Amino acid sequence: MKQITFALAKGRLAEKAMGILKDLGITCKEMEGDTRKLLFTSDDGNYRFFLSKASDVPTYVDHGVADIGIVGKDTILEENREVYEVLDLGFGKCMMTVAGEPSKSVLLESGQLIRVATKYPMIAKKYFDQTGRSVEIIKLHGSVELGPIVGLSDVIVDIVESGKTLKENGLVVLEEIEPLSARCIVNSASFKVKHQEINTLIKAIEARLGE
Amino acid sequence: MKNFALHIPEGVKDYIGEEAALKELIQNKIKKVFRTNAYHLVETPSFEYLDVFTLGEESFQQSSLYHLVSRQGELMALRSDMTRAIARLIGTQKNEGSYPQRFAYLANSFRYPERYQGKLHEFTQAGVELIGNKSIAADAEVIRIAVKCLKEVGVTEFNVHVGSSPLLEYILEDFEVEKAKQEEVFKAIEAKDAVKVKSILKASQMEVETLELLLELIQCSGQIELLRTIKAKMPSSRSKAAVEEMETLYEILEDYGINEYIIFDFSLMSYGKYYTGMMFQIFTLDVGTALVEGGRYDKLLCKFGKDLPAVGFGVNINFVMQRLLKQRDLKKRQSKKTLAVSTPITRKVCQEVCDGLREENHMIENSLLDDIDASVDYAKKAGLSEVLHFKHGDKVDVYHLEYGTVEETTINQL
Repeated sequence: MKQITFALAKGRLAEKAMGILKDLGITCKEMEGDTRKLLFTSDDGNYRFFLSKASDVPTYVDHGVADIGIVGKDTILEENREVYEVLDLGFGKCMMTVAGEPSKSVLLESGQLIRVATKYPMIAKKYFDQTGRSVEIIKLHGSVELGPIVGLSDVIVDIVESGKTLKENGLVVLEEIEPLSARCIVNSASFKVKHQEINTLIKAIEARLGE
Repeated sequence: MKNFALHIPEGVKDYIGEEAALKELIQNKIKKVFRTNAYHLVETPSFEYLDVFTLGEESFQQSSLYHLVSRQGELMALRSDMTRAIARLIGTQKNEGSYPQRFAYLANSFRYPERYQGKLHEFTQAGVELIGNKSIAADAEVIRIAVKCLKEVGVTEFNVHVGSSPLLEYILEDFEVEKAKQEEVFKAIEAKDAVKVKSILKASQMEVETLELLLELIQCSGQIELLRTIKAKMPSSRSKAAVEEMETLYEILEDYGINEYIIFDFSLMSYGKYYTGMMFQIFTLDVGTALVEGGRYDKLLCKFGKDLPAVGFGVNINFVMQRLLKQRDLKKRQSKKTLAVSTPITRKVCQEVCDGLREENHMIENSLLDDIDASVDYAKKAGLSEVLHFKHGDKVDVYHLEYGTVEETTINQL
């Protein structure tokens, strides 16, 4: 068979994905334990894996240096790359939301300019464009909840999983943008050239998830 | 401070040395294929009115275009798409010639991807457009020419994925899926989001068998046997006819001896709003994008005032180069170059002999050094393979630098 290369978003998603592949008999001893290696080959030599920052996964897949990527829907939307999204893996479920102090719901409907702090400027811009509101986006790189608390922004656009962080900081979900979860993306050329290998694999993963 | 004079902007590149030579070689070979198949090379302006590239789109606000504003304040854009430029050219022509007409092009186009994606903004495409004929024979002709181009330039191990662009629309309509749902499906297809397509189909209350057929269809591709299986499952005469056309196409391609490259593809990427019939893409290992894209677009020309069917394709030369550079290494392709050294007395005869050799396509450089030893040294450093020393009379020394040998001969024996 033709060798398949995976790009995995570092952390929980990668662990979960490797777990599923292990159930399918695809194991990779090299990857277990403490190692500084960046590129791993499966025990049977049919697969290669590398771990990368989540936001880089669509880039690797777009350029075809990885055939398959495992990454969150939030990253896929934000990076907006030419990749083929084939499978919802069902784990890592959460919601992309607009959040802020409860009083800000009035502002959202007012037609006035809204200041939005977010790690996801593309998603935020597109959402407010589609819903016909003018916004000023402020890109932050972490702890976005600080934005409305310290007065940098009116609202935030961010992922909400349990809502605990929001609650502890006096913020609430004002609008839901889109449900998110881990997805399997494929390079469009790989999907053609290595169709048999990739399709078999995806069907096997789908069947495993259905159990 | 950054010295702008020594830098080039994001998304463009220089071609020098062997890369430039390779590009020229590919382009010449492809141009020959076009010419010998009676396609006429056309050139269109590098920039035109914005309308040419946005006509019929939802909005003229296209973030992928390189916009320009003329002195008079007219909106223009750098050419983003040669097919549209040719459609405009046909629309502009006043005299109705006879159809079909065959056009070919080799040109650079310009498109903004999003920032820092590592993609070229200026890229070279070669392609053909066959205008004014709706037959399957015309579809087969452009596929044959596309395959011929890749074979001529030496691309190996490629597959032609052939799909029928309106097939899914036919099936959805035949099963009476609501218009709004259909729109949603095609939007998700544009976003290449199969997960969403599946969830829309699942939510649309169709019969289980229909749903299963569709879900199976949108992820399958295969040889001619698959096509026959699928034909039997088609719900209406219209969708059946669409598949039958693909079968006929295959028969023609079989006679052309290129059926081994053909894969029928019903996956999501085959369905879009641009193509109106057969569509195809050519993929190869090691390149993450299609080398060739083409198909039938019968609705584009009427936007430019001529209601004519058309079919064509474009080869992305940059991707072809990427593939060839991976296939074998550059040095091997380096063609033999010769240095000619003469004296004031042999200058005339040297020139005559060398021009004769140049006629036969040899690459010969005139030495600007009088001294033979200095010339040989130079030739070695510059990586030339041969030195011809026109000593006196008709005596010539041939230095074979690769083997380190010298052979004395005469002009007539060269």
